[in-house]
Amino acid sequence: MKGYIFKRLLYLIPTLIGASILIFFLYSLVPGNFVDSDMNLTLERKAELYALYGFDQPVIKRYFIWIGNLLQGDLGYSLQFQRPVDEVLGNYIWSSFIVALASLILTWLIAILIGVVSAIRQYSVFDTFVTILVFAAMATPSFFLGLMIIKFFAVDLGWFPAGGIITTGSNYTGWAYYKDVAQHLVLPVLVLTMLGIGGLARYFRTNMLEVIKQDFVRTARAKGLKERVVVFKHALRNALLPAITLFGFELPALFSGAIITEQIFNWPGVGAVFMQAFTVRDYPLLMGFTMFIALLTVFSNLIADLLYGVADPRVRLR
Amino acid sequence: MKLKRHLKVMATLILMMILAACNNVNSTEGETSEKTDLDEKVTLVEDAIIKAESPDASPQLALNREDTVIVGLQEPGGIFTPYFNTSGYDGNVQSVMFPPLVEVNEAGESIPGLAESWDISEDELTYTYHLREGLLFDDGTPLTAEDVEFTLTLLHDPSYPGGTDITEAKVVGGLDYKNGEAEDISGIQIIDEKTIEITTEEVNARALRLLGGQILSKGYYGKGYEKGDLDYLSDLHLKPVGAGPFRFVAYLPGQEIRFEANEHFYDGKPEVAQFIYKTLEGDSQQFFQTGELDYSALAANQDNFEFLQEIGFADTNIYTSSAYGYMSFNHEKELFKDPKVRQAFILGLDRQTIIDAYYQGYAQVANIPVSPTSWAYTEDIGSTTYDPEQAKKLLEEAGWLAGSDGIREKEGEKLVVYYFTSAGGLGDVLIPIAKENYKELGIDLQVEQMDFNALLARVENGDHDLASFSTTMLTDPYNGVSNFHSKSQSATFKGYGSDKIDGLIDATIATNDIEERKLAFNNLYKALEEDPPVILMSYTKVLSGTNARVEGFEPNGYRGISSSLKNLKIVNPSES
Amino acid sequence: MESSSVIRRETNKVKHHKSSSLWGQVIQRLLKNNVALAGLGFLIFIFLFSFIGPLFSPYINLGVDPTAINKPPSAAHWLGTDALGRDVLTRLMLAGRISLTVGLGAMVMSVTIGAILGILAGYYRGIVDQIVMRTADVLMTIPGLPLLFIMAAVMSEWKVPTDYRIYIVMIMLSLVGWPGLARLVRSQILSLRERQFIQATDALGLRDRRKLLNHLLPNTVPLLIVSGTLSIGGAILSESTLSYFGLGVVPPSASWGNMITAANSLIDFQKRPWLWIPPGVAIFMTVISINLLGDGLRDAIDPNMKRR
Repeated sequence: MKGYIFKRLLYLIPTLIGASILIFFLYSLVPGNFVDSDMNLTLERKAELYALYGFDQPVIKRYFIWIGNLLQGDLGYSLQFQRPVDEVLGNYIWSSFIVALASLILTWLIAILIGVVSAIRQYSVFDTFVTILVFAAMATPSFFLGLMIIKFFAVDLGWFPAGGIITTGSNYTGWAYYKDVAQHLVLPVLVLTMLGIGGLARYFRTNMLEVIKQDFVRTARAKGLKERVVVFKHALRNALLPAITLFGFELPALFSGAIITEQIFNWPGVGAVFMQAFTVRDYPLLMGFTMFIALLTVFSNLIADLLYGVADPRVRLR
Repeated sequence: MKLKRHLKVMATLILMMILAACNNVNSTEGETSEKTDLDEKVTLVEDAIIKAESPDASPQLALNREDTVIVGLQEPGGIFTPYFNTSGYDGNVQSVMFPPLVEVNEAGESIPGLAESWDISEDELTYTYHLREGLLFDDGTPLTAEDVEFTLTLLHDPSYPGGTDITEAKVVGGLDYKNGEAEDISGIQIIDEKTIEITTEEVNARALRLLGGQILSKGYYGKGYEKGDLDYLSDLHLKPVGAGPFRFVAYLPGQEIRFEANEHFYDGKPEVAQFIYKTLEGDSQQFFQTGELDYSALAANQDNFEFLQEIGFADTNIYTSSAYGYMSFNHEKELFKDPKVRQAFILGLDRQTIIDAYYQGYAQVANIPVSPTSWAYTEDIGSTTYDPEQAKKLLEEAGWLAGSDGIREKEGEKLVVYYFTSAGGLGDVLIPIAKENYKELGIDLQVEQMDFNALLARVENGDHDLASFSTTMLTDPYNGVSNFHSKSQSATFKGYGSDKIDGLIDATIATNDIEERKLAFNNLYKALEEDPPVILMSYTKVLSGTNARVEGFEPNGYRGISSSLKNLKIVNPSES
Repeated sequence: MESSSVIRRETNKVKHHKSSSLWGQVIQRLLKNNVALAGLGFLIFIFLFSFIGPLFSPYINLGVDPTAINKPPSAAHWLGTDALGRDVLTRLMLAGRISLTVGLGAMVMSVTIGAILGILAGYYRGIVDQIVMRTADVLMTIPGLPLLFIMAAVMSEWKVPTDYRIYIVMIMLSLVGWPGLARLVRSQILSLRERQFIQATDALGLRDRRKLLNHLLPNTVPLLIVSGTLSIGGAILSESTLSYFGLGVVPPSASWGNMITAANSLIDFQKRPWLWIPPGVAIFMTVISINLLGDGLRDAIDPNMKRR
């Protein structure tokens, strides 16, 4: 195992270099740039700005400048905000993280519960009902779900605010502030959870179905263990093995923001900023953020690989 | 057995969902059929101000805000120093704090701002601005002619990175400062504390406003200024000091920008203690409905108008924008060298149907490149008719003859035209109709959708034949035609222009007399009809709702709400 | 830990092998499963509806009708008309042609690639695993948006007819979109290959191809079915966002996705449900019938799973 870990860590280097090259050159191939998006500039003015921002340099040279700065921990300077990229991301990333974390926890808890129940009661009314809901959610675009939720809970019932992260113009501090944020958090988390549960619950249901037919579960039952113990202790543990992979996908998602949901709920998150940066082609911001997510992706896959061995000692990776 | 039940339950549930949906349809049928009767004969909606029917319906959330007014705004870029922003939304934020020397009224005419009055010399080359008595910046320091001089000098600085091209005004000595060794600009003379005189080299009707713009404090923004280095300013972009009705308090990225009433404002401290721009990414309807916003501009159409009427507490304002929408030709393509072909493309497009279907009466077909709000507008020039027969005739005359497959040909080349547009919006309606219209003429219209930035890049490259655009708000009618000049560097109009058109365009700014300018514009518009640079599409309306608890918003097509912010007042709805 | 019954089943299969293949038996069992047949029936219906249905529509050649904008369902227009006065039912049928092709095509491609690479990586481990999975890592870091922009630019440059672009895009997206499923399959194979029934096949000296195809692949089918049904819905819906980049279906062509997105305001949502319910129901029915068929397939492959 130690050899494997060492090898994996070694492979990180070419993987990340490959990723950085792909990311940089993909962005440099995208049509349009920051200066072009201002229609009122004269050609002369554009040429001046090109030189100012270094757009007139060859792509290869720009790549090495970028990667050089990156290695020194410098993500660059956002063209649109005229602030360092890490500062801009810092302004937005945590509000995305809160929503993502809250909905991640909820999604997994509910999905596991649904998955287990619909597996042990396969083809029951409950199972059927949940199946239908899952597929109905699948046929619903996220902006649509968002609009429906706002319509019912914010506009008609007035239970929760329609969007934003704090009450506009408020100066709460301490508990009042947290309470305010929590209230604003409810609807976006609800939407993200509703969108996320379906797929996960299907995976868990399938895994559970696989596991409960296996001998050790029968043995456990035969030993006279309580059904609840059988299901949640013996069966579930084994059914969750494949979930490690799924969990590995969730780590980068915690920081990458949800573009559409954030837009609809006016949540000051990084997804909305990313999209906005795209419309004006703020490449330093776009590339810095993408590289950050890439790093998280690669690491979470590494962690997932290591966890397989822990969770199922039979697994031997070489 | 269980499997069968599974299937049965599933079928029942699906049926229930569909039935529920159908019920929904029936319950709304009454309303909508009523509405569609209106749709059949779309008539142009007039500009109007409609008072709220039931101001009492205003949500408690809004009523609780006793001294604060909130308006929605798209996320700005966070550069709150005038002349340095790239995002137009930064411009909205700036205009709360930075009134210009010369304001614009709802007819597009110049009216006093920070300058009480101004004189233009006989030869129309020298502008003298008289500042108001006792002007103060919001930090309490005096605003004088020196600050005006500093602002104009800054704009001439060789390292100025923003988008304002001050050299267009041709101030005497301006280029010497920008490109040469000069230590100051010889054409700018401070007469006394509140009088400044600026001499230009050429008569230009736009100079009055170009030179009479927003003012930066020399004591604040000029601290440490050395010619050729403006980098120090970036630290001040988030800490603006202006002289407007409100003073900047805080910017919470992705959430809001807060302002407080400025007691130093020349027109007196506004009644409203706090003004907030709440930043929004998507729709603003729901925020207006729940009372989170006091003012909201909506896409102008019948649906949104009915929405404002239904919620009851909205004062509704419909006004015409000063911008116009158009479809540009690629004048570098051989096809469009012949004006007859361009005229055929205009006549053969059923613009009325497109505009009516999309805007439901909240826009009209454009006839000349200026909006009806402007003093330069006239109904007498240009046409909005749809005449496919005439269009076919023009194409025949231009040598494009009917081909075997219904698509016209000339010298073996098919009449295939690539049209670039951004996804969504008017395009969804325009594309199907334009395709049908042009097919009837024997033109094969190929459509490509892309995001706006990519569209600009592709058009710059000259890959398009036709592309859709809209102008920004046009404070002067000259801005609506300046790109048609052969010296214009706009990529969109590369290859267009002639000495005749150039001369006519130049004539429109060669005088400061409005009547003479009107005449010049009329001549230009007539010539443009013969040699069309674009397919003019529409003048759109802007629809805005104000929560009836707030009075004083007077949006206009040139400056939006910014010039009326100083008059905001909160009223108790039950009293009004 | 593996049950003796599974091993018995495996040996049964070996015995049966002479008369009919494993997959032949699966099809026979599938044909006896009513629920799966119902799913199949649904699917056939939707296909006929989309591909043959428009031939019976009186509105097939009619375009925009400014006099009949946003009409609710009526005898003339069974599902009403849209913002341009076009018959929603006819557009629903025409849209189905594109959405079904795109949805099913994307599903089949991504599941095939993901399954094959995942099984190979998990079974052979070592250098195969490293190559496949590190490639997957790099692909997973590719940001989707610029990729779409570039594809749009290239295809526009080459003047690829706008009607074909969506298919090329779906192929491209499947080519870079396999890492997720491949990782899932691989993790399952890593665990499966250590179980007794595979060890038994080792002992029996079966060739790799047999082991992979007849023993490992069937055990990943439940996973593939879930992933497949999820990806169909995803592909049909995401098609509509592609038009933002100029890669989706160009108007006036319709797809279920862009029919729903066209009704993207609270006002349409409340007042004109006939604009979004039909495409929504169509997507829903397609996904659910694929799922029924998939569940049937799984039961057919592994009869022990049907009921415990």
